[in-house]
Amino acid sequence: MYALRRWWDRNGVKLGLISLAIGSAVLLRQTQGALVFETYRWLTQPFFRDPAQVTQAGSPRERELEQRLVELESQNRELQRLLKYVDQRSDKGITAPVIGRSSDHWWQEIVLSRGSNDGIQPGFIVSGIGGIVGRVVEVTPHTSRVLLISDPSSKVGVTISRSRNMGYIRGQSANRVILVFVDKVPDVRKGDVVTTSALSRLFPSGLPVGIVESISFNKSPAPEAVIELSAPISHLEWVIVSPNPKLAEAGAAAEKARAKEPAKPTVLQADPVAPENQLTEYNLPQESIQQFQNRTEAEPPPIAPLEQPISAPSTPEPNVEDVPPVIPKASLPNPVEPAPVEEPAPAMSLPALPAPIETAPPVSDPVEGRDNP
Amino acid sequence: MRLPGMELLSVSPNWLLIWVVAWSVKRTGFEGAIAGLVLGLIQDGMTYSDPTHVFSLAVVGFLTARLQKQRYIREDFVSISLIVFGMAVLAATITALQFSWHNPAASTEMANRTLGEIWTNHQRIALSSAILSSLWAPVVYYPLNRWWEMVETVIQPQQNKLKNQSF
Repeated sequence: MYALRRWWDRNGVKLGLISLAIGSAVLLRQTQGALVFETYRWLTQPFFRDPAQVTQAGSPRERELEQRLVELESQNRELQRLLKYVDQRSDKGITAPVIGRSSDHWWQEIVLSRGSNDGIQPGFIVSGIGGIVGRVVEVTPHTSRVLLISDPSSKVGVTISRSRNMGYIRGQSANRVILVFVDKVPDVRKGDVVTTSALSRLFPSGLPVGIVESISFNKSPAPEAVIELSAPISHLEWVIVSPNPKLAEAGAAAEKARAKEPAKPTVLQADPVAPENQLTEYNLPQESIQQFQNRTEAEPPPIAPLEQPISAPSTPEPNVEDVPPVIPKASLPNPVEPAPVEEPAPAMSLPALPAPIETAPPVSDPVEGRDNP
Repeated sequence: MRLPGMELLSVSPNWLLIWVVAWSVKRTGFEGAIAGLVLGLIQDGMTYSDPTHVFSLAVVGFLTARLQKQRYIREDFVSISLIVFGMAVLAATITALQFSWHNPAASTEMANRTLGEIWTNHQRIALSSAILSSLWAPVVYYPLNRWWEMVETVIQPQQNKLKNQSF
C-alpha cells in the first residue's frame, strides 16, 4: 500500500498531465478540430481584405465581357422561363476568405472563414475566380474545410464543351488535373474548354473546370489529357460558396449513404445508388456514341434545351445557366451564339434517355420559334 | 501555415513532425510516443482521420527518443536537421503504407487512389517535406529547447527539495 502511495506521489502529476493531454487531443479529434479552426480564424480575422478589392479587379475588356455575360444569362433565364424549364439553382453565393491550407500533405484542402452560421453545409460547391475549386466537406460554426478538385482522391465527371466527349478528372495535386476519357477516340483539341458534366453527381453540370493543355492518345485503358485548371488553385484568396442543387435533390437514398459516413469527404463515390465513376462510365460509350451521332443529325441544335424539362424528373438536375458564360470567354475562336444552346443536349442524352426525346421536339419547336423573334 | 516561398512542389514543412522530434530528442521513448499520439490525434481532427496520423507520429517520437543522440553527438543543429530529414521520409512512408493497405477496402474516397498514384505521390511528398522540414527544424527546435532547458533549471531544484522532504 505504501509503495503504491509512493509511486502515486512520484508519478501522479505526470500521469494526470499525460491523460489530460490525450483526453483533450481525443476531444479535439472528435470535434474535427473545431476549436483549432475557430481560434485560428479569430486570430487571422484582422488580416482579411475586402472582397470588393479582389473581385473588382479586371481590365475594361473583362468588365465588358462580364456585362455581356450578365445580359446573356438573363436572356437565357427568360427563354427558359418561357419554355417552362424549371431551374432550381439559386444564384446566391457566399463569399468566403481562404484562411488556411491543409495541414497534411496527402490531402489538398483549404480552410474558409465562413461556416454553418453563414448557411454553409457539407457538399456545397466552392468556386474561385475562373472555375470550380472544390467541395465543402466539413463545417464548424465559423469555418469550413474544402476538398479541392486537385486532390488525387477527388474524381469529377467532366465533358469537353465543344465536342461533348465525356470523362472524369483526377487530381494531380497541383494546378493540373488528368482527364481520363470514356471514349477510345475522343474528339478533343488543345485549348478545349472542360466543364462539369451532367453525369456528375456531386457538382452541377456546366461549371467551368479548365482548359486542355496536352493530350496523350496512347494511354492504356483510355486516352488521357492534362487539364490546366482555370481557377488559380495554388493562390486562392477569396472563393464563392454556393448551394449544391444536386445535393438537395439527391433524395433519401443519398441521404442514407451520406449518413453512414458523415466525416468522409466521399467524392463521387458517395452514393452507391448511381455511382458516376469510371466503372459505370466505361459501360456507356457504344450506346452514347450511337445516340450522340443519331441525335446531332436528326435534330437541329436549338431544340436541345427543350429536352431538359422532360428528362428532368428522372435524371439529375441539369444546370444550363452556367454553361454559356464559360465558353465564349475561354474559347475565343468559337462563335458565341450557337455554343450555349447546343451545350446541354448531348450531355443529357448520355444518361439513358428514354422515349421522350422523340416526342419532345415537335411539341416545343414551335414555341421557341414563336417566342424567340 | 504557409508563407510565400515556403512550399516545394506544393508541399509545406511538416511542423508537427518537427515538434515531435524536438520534444523526443532528449526524452524517453515512452514520452516520445505519447507526444506523437497526442499530436497525431490533433492532426486527425484537423484533416482526414482515415489513414490516421497517430501511427506515424508515434513511431517517429519513439524512434527519435531511442536514437539517444545526446550520448553520441553533442552538437545540436545539424544533427536535429538530419534526424528530421530521416523521420519525415519515414513518416511519409508509413502513411503511404497505410494508404496501400486501405486500398482494397472500397467504400471510401481512399479507393480512388491507385497503388501507382500513392507511391508516385509518396516520392514527391517524402522528398520535399523532408528537405523543407529539415531546413526549418532549427527554427522550431532552438526556442523550444531553450525554453525546456529553462523550465528544467527552475523545476529541478524544487523537485529535489520535494524528494528530500518525502524521505
